[in-house]
Amino acid sequence: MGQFANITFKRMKNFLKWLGNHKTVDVLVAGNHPIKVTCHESKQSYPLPGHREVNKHIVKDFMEWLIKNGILTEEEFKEHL
Amino acid sequence: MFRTLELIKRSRLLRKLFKPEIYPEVFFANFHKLPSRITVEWFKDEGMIIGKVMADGKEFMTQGANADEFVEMVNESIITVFDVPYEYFDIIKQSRSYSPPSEEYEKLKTPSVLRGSIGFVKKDNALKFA
Repeated sequence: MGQFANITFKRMKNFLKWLGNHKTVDVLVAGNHPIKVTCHESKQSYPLPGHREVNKHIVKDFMEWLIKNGILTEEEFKEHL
Repeated sequence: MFRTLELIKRSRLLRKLFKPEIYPEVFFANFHKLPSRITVEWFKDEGMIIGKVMADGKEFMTQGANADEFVEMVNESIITVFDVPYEYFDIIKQSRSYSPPSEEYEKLKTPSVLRGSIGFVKKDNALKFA
């Protein structure tokens, strides 16, 4: 897990804002519920914890989910996160 | 589409003023959409409990600062991923449809236990909330 680190919610929120505006996903932030990222094509969703820091294991898993669903590449993820 | 916090505050106020009606049939339909069994492989990392949730072919990860929060996040994540409408979110969440067996829950709470695996079975006590 050397290349991943915990990230703050603010940083994740900025990344999700970019993701929602530039990629084929819907990002739903609703109060204190998990953030829901839904891929338009596969209709699959990923729930992100919407509070404090996001653990590095979840960051990596989320990246792998985005790549598996063809939403973006690893390079794009690292560039915009 | 990214919904802003201001919109969320407005919608919260509207929800308080005009509480959405809960229809039992819709509640049951959404409750039965949820998987009857899920598996969570968890471990502890930097003061957090991190879990990989596997449910009906879907896999994702979640986290919690302590055992109670972790179980709550597992429940919330499942409800989110299985597209339960937000009007029914809280009522299903209240029921804690997925609670770990007591011995597994104790392992989550014990600092010296660093990892484990839990099989959750959906409880039907949520139906009494309808």
